[in-house]
Amino acid sequence: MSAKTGRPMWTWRLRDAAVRAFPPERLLPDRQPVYVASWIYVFGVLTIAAFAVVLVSGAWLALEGPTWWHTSKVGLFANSLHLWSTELFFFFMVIHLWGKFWMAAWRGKRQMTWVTGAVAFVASIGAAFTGYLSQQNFASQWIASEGQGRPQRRRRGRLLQRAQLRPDLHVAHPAAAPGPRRPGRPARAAGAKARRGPPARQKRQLPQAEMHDSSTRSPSRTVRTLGPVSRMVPTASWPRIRPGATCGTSPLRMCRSVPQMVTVSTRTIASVSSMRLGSGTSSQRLSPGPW
Amino acid sequence: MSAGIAGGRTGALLGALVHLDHPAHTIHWGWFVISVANLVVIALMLAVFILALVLPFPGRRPP
Repeated sequence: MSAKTGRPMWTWRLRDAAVRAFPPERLLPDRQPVYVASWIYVFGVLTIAAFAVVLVSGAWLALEGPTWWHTSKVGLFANSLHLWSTELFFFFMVIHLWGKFWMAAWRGKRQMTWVTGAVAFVASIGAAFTGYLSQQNFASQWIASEGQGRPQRRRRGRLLQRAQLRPDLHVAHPAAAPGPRRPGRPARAAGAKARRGPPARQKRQLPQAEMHDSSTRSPSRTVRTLGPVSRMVPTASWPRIRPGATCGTSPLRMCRSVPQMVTVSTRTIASVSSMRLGSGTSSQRLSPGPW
Repeated sequence: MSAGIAGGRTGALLGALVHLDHPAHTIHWGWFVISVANLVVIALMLAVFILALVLPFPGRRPP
């Protein structure tokens, strides 16, 4: 009680408000409702337990790097631990979701509990997807290219393949699995001295002094010439009004010009080999231009 | 990765029991395509869900 004003201090008011909002006799009930004695109530805590293993194993993987998790025995174990804890996490979470759905668990002012579960479910799907893409092996490339199966899905497939190489995606994955920007620590050879620090702080390799030619002649020799990458299409010309051929004074009675029908599309291909061989394709399309 | 690196003889034995080094088997129902592995997981989830509802929970029931 404040001696000057006679009003209770703010700590008293805060405590009264907290006791009114959360009555102690309801916070820690000593008797469990009878309906809780069911196996279906186990899957929520199983989901949380699996999620804890996911977080710990994911942080372990992120600290060690892809070379470690793909080559060393302990790394393979941690990799498998992360995979199977994720599998169990989704397994338990879906059963928990089914149980809560058929219980209509959003009743009794528990809407936000349901909403948080739904948001966590959707976020987990995104996290699992980015995790599959950031494995840094052929499987992640295969998953990225799977979206390229049908022609209408090619755009999505290209996006996935591009995303698989983007470091941002790996940052988006929980626990920040390392990507190309941070290749991770390579597996240490027996007897090799450990080197700490990010790769950016390592000394750069310089070319030998005897080599004065600084350009690389053939970084990746390609026998097959790529297809045409551009197409030249002349702009169609179709003036609305033929000059000098006005049939009357009203614009509505003016003679319209004949549309230009010939549009030549030329596709060229340039040879990248030293033999200077190439081919050209020329097609002619007879259709009205866009104006 | 070979089974030898993964865990020696145990890994080789498990690898022999469950052969995973092949493309996934898929089931096609018209436009619907699902891998056998995913179908098995869904069936297992349904089975565990039904068992969780049916099986009695251990413990003393209040009178």
